[in-house]
Amino acid sequence: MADWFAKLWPFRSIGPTIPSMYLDKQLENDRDYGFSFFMQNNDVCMNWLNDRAKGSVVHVSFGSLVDLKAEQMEELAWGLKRSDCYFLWVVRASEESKMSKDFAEESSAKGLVVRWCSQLEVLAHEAVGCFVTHCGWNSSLEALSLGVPMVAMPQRTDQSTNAKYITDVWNMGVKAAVDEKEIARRETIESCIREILEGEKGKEIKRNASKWKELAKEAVEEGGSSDKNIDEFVANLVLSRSSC
Amino acid sequence: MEKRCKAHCLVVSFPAQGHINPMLQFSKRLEHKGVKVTPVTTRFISNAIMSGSSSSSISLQTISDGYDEGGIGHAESIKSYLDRFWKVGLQTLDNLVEKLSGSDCPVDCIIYDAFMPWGLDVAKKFGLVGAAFFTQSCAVDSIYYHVYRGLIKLPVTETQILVPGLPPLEPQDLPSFIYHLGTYPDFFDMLLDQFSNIDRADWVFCNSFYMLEREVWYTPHIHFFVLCKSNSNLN
Repeated sequence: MADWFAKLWPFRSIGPTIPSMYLDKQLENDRDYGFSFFMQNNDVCMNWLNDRAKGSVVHVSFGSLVDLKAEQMEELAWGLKRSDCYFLWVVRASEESKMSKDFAEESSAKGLVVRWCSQLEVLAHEAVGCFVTHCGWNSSLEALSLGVPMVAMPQRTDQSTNAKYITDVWNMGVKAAVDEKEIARRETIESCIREILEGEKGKEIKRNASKWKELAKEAVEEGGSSDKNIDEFVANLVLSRSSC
Repeated sequence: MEKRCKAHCLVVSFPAQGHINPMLQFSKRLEHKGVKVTPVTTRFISNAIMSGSSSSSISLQTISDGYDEGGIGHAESIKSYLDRFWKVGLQTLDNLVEKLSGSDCPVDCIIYDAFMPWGLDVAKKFGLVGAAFFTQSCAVDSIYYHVYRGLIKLPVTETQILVPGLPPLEPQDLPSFIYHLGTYPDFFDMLLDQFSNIDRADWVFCNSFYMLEREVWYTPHIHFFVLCKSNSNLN
């Protein structure tokens, strides 16, 4: 059947499109995406993570574009506080005003709040055991490829569909249910985090996560689906050049 | 003189971090296979980015979205941004291909973000290979495609939405542009417009991996791109 499709339409998967050194390691210099719109201070994050136990930290990030409602931000802050876990929370400079003034200081024993970080480096760190995410497609692929269980908090665009897949198809996380105002409340966020870090569901997801991690790597390895698709494309390009 | 290269691809991404990252990664993979790759982004983005630590021989070229000083943040509205970008972007991409055609390694192929279907128009004008790259998941692309073809009727009134190859969806599982119909109508139009000329693309790539969305890939007969192809054959 695959051949039948291939002949009908040249529709191919490419990916996961995350730096090679996190997957197959074929491209030795490919450790990061190569650019960012934001200044980051990874040493601070890495040093902080180095002091935490394996699988004990919740990483929280809503990507490069999402603007959270102030009310949602507050519920999230309370949810983290109530869960009593260690957390590394990325709050972009443009989002800082929505955060209660003293939160970062008050919670400094448990949490680190930064404006930006290299998400790949953070997710790949063994201290990280849970990722509270907006379910942007790249973030979802990163967590899948690195085997990090997720708490899905989709906000807009395709994130809701990605969240559905993360929870119900890939079994890689739980979704924080929202109320009629589309806000995930503190109790919900707390229980989702606990479910991942301490519950039975979390254990099941972690087992499943290692499967996806392996499949992601296989796809880009020599002879994997993405690698073969790229070979086929390149061979065709070379052929069409020599024929004209 | 530079040795004649194996093949040369322009990789034109939509100016947002989440769109540039995957296309840049695809570029690195192509380069690893010996293809010359020139990533293309807007002048505004090119000036705004902070370079990372990766060493790469890939050199960036720019086009204009018509807002070189401030990008979308300087536009009056999303609509005026997209209208101007689509006009100026096409023109400046056209100029770029023209400029590179006199080089030692002229362009063979344009890989363009599917958000910008005019990338294909430029490719076809110069007789180049045109490849659409969908940065979103295959499942999400399939949903938009079904809306584009009228196979999902708007507004959605059903409590369960069935799309071939996808799990049964509740309305709130659909992309927000559909579930909250009317929010950002201009972006929504752009998302549907991705399919307006897809039947003329030589290649269609999706930012995913096969095992992850196997069911979407393997839905026979009604698979969305197959459907697209057969429709174009009928017309």
